[in-house]
Amino acid sequence: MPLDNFLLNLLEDPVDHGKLLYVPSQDVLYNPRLRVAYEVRDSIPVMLPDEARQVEEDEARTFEEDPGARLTGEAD
Amino acid sequence: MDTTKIFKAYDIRGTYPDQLDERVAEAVGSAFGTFVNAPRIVMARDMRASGESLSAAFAKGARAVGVEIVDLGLASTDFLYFASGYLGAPGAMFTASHNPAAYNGIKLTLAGAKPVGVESGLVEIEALTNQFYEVPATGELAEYATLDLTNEWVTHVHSFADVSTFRPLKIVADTANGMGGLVAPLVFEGLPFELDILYGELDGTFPNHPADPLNPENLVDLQARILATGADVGLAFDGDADRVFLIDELGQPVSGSTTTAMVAAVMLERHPGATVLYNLICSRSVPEVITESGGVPVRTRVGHSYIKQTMAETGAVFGGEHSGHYYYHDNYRADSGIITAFVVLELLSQSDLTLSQLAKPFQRYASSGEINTEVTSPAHTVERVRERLGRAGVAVDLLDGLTADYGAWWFNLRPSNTEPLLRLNVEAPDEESLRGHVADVVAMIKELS
Repeated sequence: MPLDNFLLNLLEDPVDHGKLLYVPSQDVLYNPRLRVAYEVRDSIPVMLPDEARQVEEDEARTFEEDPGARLTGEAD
Repeated sequence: MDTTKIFKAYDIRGTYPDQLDERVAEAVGSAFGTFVNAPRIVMARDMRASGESLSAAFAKGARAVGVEIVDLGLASTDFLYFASGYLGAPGAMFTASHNPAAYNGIKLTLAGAKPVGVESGLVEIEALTNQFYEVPATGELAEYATLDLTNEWVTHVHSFADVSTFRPLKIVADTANGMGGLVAPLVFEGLPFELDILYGELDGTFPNHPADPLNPENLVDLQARILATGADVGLAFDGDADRVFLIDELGQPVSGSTTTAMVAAVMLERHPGATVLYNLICSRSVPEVITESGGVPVRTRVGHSYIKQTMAETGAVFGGEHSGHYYYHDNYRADSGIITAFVVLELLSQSDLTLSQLAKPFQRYASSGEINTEVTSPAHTVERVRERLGRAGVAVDLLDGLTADYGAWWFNLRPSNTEPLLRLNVEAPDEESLRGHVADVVAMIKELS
């Protein structure tokens, strides 16, 4: 189930406090600046720096090119 | 309006409506909104009847200075801290914690659950409150929305234990008609425990007993229920459920120091070599256990803003206060009672021992508890005690009040911030020597005040 727009609007990266790219098809919130991804498990974003994973360039591209991806703070 | 009566060291608190009413709350909303300079504030309230109108007035005040309000509705204080960390937004919690029904109050946090106290903004917020009380903000109201973060918070709490190892323990929780009655069923749902809740109905008049578990009178019903039902553990919540005290299967309270030591041992197993904080009135068993568990003990002043600040500076994984506040690095450095209960329930689940047996190795000394003595000039008395001990060659440190270390025993004497009181804590190897030392120190305080 995709994340609720309202919550999505409020979420930011817990480390640099910038916007995140939400990729619903892959259940992640991606920070392109630090190149880390936060998982969305059972519709619950796990916003913990310790549980974030580093993302390689190839995977980062799949996030950035995903047609369903959108930035937090900009959802309708 | 006299704000000096309601602005305390770490929060705003007063009787409703004579000291703290909707007009004051609206002014605080505008003041806090102006101070934080953030797009939105996350807000919640406990079950006190005045919470709804006070929080609505606060929201209006914040929105009138252009700050959006995200309202969680009814929640515990540690839930609000979580939301502040999770959303990276400043927070406002409407609660008077364990205080009687006539009171209400506001606990404020900066974005990321960072503390607000007299040394970190509360003085400025008080000054702004006075201005907005006289001249209310009249700007166009920013957005207001409600948000349910229950699933996110429950998942977060569960992440502090391996819930798959939980065994079917019998738990009695006395939530004292406070917010524990709402949050305990949420976080325990789906776990193998048998949960028996005493006084679970939310009722800000506290019809059964005050929601202050530090007072032994308020534990009597819980202790009786544990013994009558053969429960494994009792949990005593305070009014806003940020503090949870453990009672063992024999009905004996487990002290804040013992709980700190137990949790420290667990956290150090998970994070070898980490730093753990304890405040200076904790039992000496706490730094001993931290060292024995391979950790680095760091002693702090009493009070949550000191612990949170020292946590940020040292990167500590955990910190405990004897008063029952337990802080976790992974909880945005905020304190949580329910997370502490989870850590201990995991320990209990993975052991064949009872809680009293588990706690025993951590209970090494006899402690007086906090003894309050009324004196006319607390700071002056502390100074005279310091002079006398200095002449006698006793090792003294002044991190918070005065701590005198006699080797086998020690005491700490702190002036209260708000009342003409001295707070004394004494710890000694056994009950008999403790009684003698307490009598001697109290006599010295009386003589020198």
